[in-house]
Amino acid sequence: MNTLKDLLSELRSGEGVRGAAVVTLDGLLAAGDLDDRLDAAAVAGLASYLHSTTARSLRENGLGDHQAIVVHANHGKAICVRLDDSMLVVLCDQFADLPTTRAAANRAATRLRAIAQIR
Amino acid sequence: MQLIQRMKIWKEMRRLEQRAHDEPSPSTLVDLGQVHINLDMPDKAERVAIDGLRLFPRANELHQLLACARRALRKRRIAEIRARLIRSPHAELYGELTQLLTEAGDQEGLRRACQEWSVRFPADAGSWLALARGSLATFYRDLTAQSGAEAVRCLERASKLAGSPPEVRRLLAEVLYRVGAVRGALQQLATLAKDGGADPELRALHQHVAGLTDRGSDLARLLGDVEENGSLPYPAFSTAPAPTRVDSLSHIRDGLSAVVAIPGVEKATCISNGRALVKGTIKDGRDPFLKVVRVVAKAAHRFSRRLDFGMAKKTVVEGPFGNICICIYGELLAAVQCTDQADVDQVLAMLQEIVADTLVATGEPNP
Repeated sequence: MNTLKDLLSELRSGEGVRGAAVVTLDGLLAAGDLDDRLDAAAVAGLASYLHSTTARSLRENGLGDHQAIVVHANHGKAICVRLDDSMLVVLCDQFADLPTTRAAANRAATRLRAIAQIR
Repeated sequence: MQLIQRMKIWKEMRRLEQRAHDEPSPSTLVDLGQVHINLDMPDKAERVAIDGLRLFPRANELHQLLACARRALRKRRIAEIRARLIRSPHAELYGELTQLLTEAGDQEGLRRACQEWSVRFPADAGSWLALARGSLATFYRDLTAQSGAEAVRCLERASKLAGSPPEVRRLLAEVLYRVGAVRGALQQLATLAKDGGADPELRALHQHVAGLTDRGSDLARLLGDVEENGSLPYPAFSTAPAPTRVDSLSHIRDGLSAVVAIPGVEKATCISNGRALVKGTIKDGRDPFLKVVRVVAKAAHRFSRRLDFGMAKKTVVEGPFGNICICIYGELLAAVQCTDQADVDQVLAMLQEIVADTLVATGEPNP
């Protein structure tokens, strides 16, 4: 379990998880394992938008950089964990157990950072 | 082979019926209902679910069985009506078909049926009304400008046909005033009163709408605002607040005091219609926390809507500053900045409570 795709597939197999992707900060999809109903390009673009808007606002107001953003919406939940020059995005349905998915996302993020360092 | 399988299923059904009779339990009843559904007898499955719910009203699996049986019954009835429509098309049958398709949430089927209906009976307003009902259901659920515009278009089309039912103008008036086109809604209500005399309910609705502030007549802009904000400016008449409103500020102040009492919470705010109430270590309105929560809430809202996740209700941003927790509904937002020591779940639950209490006090629909 040490390739990018394996890590994303492992995350995707979690209960209620609809997709997992690694997205560059400027909105390009590096790798993804997403539900058919999710448009990979849209996910990448929207995650980049959320990241950049939040980061800019935090920086402008002297609060530094964020490490993660978690959004609970009516029909789904999203977890965006910052990697070095990219981010891990995990999308789940509204019934998914967030603490479990969050823990899995954190583990995957740690491994992804390690993979990036080795390369 | 099929006959042997069927006999086995029948045998199993007899056994389950006996068990359900001797020792009824939700799981036995669900198993029995499932066998009925497998044997294409959804009416019997519905009966089992209804009887079971009398004994176990809180059994979730029985509610699911009932929904499943009703779905199967609906599907069967839709097939029957479609077959009858091929032989002898009738407007009433189309009415029943579209009603069933709306209940089933089959938007594509509904669109096709309405199209067929309006081609065969062009003078009947029913097809446009049915199509409008489907779009309205989508609009009130998802608040998308496109479905709102589609609903208004269909209702306007229906209202122009002779003999259109009063429901058409009533629905049109309701959607118009709820998005803020109050003047347009009053015109529809006035026409309705002129056409069919004013019943007490219509008079009360007219009085309610007349007391609202008009936000203009540019429907595309109003619908765009609804989609952008994720909320309707005015609630439905049935849930509208009583004329004497409770002062919601005390609720907010109490709620914010309670939330800053949680260990680790440093700053708390509740922002409604651009005005912010604050507690904790916030010096003034230019505090960075207040600026950040507004931006992040809007970005999270756009993010989730465009992903088809609906309204973003809660957002948490984690960083070296600790956690920024935001709970939002429409234009009402409650947020907290706290350290890592604070229990984020507890904070979010309290923020949600502040938002819900404020919505109740101001008469807005509850999230």
